[in-house]
Amino acid sequence: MIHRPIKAFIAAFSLISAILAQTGVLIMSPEPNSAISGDNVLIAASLIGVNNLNANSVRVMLDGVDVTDQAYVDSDMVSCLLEDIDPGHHEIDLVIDGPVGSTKWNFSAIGKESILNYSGRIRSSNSMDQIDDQTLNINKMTIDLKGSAYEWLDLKTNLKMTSQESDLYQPRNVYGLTLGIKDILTLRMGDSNPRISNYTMNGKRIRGMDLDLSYGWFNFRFLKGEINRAVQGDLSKAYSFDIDTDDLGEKYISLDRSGYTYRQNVSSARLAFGRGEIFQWGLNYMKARDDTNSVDQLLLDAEIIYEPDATGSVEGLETGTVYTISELGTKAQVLDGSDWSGNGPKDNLVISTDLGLNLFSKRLRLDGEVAFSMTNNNIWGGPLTLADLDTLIDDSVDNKLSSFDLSDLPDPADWDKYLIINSNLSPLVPIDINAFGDSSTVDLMDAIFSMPSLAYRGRAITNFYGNYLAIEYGQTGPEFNSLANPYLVKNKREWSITDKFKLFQNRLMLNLGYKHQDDDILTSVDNVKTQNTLSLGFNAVPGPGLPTLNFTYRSMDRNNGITDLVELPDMTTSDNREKTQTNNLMLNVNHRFDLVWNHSISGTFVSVEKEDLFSDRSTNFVDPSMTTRVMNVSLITRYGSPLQTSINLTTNSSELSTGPGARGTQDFLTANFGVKYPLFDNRILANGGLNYANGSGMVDMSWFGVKGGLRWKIMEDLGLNAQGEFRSKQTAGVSKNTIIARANLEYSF
Amino acid sequence: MIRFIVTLIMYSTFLLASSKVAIAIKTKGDVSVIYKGLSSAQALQPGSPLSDQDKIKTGKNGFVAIMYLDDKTVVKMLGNSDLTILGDRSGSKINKSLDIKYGRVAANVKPQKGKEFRISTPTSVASVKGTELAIESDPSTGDSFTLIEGLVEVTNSITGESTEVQEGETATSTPEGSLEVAQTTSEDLEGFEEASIEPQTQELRFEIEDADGNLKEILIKFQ
Repeated sequence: MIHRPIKAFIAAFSLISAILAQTGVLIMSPEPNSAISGDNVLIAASLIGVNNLNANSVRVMLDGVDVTDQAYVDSDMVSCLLEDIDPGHHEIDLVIDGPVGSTKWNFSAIGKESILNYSGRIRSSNSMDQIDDQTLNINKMTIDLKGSAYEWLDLKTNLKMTSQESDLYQPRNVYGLTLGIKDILTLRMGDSNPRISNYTMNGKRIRGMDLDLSYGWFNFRFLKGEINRAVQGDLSKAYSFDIDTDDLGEKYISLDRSGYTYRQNVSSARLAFGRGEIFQWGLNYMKARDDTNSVDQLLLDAEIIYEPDATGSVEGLETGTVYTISELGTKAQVLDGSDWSGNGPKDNLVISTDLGLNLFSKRLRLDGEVAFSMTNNNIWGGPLTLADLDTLIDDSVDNKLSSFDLSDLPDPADWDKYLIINSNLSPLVPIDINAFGDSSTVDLMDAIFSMPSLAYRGRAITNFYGNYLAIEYGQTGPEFNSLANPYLVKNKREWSITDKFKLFQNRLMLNLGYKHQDDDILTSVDNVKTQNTLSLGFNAVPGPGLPTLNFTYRSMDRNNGITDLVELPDMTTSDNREKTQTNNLMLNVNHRFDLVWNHSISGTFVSVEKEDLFSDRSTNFVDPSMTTRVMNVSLITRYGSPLQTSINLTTNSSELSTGPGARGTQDFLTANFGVKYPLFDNRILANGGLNYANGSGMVDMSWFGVKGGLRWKIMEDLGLNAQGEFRSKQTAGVSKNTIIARANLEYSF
Repeated sequence: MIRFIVTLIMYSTFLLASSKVAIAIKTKGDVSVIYKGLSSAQALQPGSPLSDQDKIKTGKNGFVAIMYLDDKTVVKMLGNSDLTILGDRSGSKINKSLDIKYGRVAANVKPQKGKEFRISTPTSVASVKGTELAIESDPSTGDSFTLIEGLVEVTNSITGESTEVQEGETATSTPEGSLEVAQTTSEDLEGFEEASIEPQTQELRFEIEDADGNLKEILIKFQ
């Protein structure tokens, strides 16, 4: 007979053993009591927590039917992929011999997935910025819809409407629709930001259509639209004027159109071969041209404030009176477009080719592009003809431009569909002609690579054994121009090499880099500007519980190539020399630790020292030397409750030139305190804070601010984010206030 | 189905040589794996086991969800992505990390109980303790880390600068060395729709028999 305590102990031991053994099975798929598609149902469980498992004893049962022969089973896991399961309720039973026994769970299979799927997000945001006496209110509405049908058709919208939309500016509203057929064809209509290549078109917004076809190794893309829409401009600033005299000696107002933007039409195409995974070679072109008809010469409601000038006055007009063109009648004449003094309408053609190679499973990446552009900076008057060229310099000999024979040249007027060629073309001669002929004085290759409207770049990136090495070379000529890529920096040649080492399982990273930049592109450059930057640093992340340490050092030398003072007519000198060295050092330590509560502390020290390497400056020279020291300490604390606070202190001390022969210092102290607290089961995240700043030295100022807000999850798919801030600022004894308020409401479906 | 079994059998030799750390629970489109010790890529099927240092790559239309075997931490790779799954088995626990070469990855990382889940890219390193986040990485333009839930510490490998990223924030880390944190916008999660991570519920389920021989089932659900 077994005593009751022993029976109880055995029962408890059995129960604990069973629990421990049972917890060793971790159900991975499908989730218990989940509803899933009946296609390709994966039954999977992890067995790594099961002790002394005999994998041969594992059986997988579905609705009582043994499907083990379709399963993969080993000592770590079991998985079984079943292609088609009838809709309805199902039970899985994972049977393991021994104490584990049976693990059962249920799921429901539903029919085929819907052929139509859609989702979307609607977001309304409002902001109000009142800074000193200026107030800016902006309202925005964003609607993003996404859908698919039949697994081959995709649809996506990108709609943004803002109160900043105005006929006086380029569009701020966005209307975009994208249709996709599998991964083969994509059609974008409306606004989009296409990237054709680095030099031709690289992310600038256009409005039009964009067709992208990709089938195997064949890729074709074509887009057409407008870069800029026509803007007629503010009616009060649409004209400037001079007072002129006509053939009869009568004074009149000569109106010059201003404040306008031409509609700029663009078309671009890319033909590329290769899937891009390993190889792709592309040919690109981009053509942009201003529409000269898009800006109205006559704006009858434009306002002209009449004022006589030094050349005289117009009879019958009163000084300071506002007239429209209709009211001026014959007392005003509007200049033809070709005579407008503002920016002329442009024409631009860019062609390029690029190549990309990925080798050794993308561990080696090679890519590059070469591009050439031609830009006409004023197409009023249209193209030159051969006859125009013949008489451009002299008309003494037919078919000759100076000594250059024109008889074999095509007529430029026949090519105006592609590019309008006239005297405003840049470059007029794309290559140094001294490189040609028997008496050439310039090497042809030098002439090609220093063409002013040529741009090229090449890059090699390797990633072997935790070593990420990148080498780049690039040059953009001073006259290279792509109207569809206006942010490209011109007249720059640069090469760089950077290396990043990862050591000790990414716990220590070393960085080393060098970059050289200059403008020594044209053979005619007298003073070559150079900039050399050396950087090195390390990042140590020893592991959990230990502080991370980061260090960066950067040294930059700048030299504008000018070595001598320039003597001016009044016998004084001008010192345009620039030769400086800047040393930048940054040290940062981060540490998380537990001391009553959980804390994260961070300390940063930054030092910037810029030194002028010329010592023979005059006493009135504006010294470019400067020194800056920044120290920052921040502490984020998470309390046992959901409360979180942050404290941030920063000091900044600078010493720099304040004018010819004068120097000054400026010190700043800023302090911030912030708090966050989630409420109502994290449905609301409330935050607030105080901030203070004090500056002394060249400018004495201080400000105190208070901010607060909340993020409220009103419903599962509906959220509100509202933030506000008030600052009171004192500068040189004058007090001004700033109020910033932001709110947005977002609904997802 | 046959292809699934054949594939698993073919690589069982290699797989048996190393402990498994995860399983592919869903694949779509072009998804391939290079198992550690092999040089050629194979199509990755749902249910396939994955071991330390296996390399996974998705094509333009590819998608794969993988789940770690110890705590059901889920990693989802979207199209045109390449990563190496790293996992060091310590008993029934796995020290996890990902080495992302490029692409879009979303992760639902369960609390790691004193350990960290490290995610490294050519530009950044993120230390994750338990969170839901989306990562977009490109060696030439840098990374973005968007926190949907929890907390992560991101370090820019170039400058060594670190920052904490919280729920509703996105950190942008670039090869030029900048590291900035801003409020998450809808654009930050553009392209991650397919990876929408649902909260995973874990459960313990066991049966006990009472004195009368009746079976009772106890179910404990937890996250």
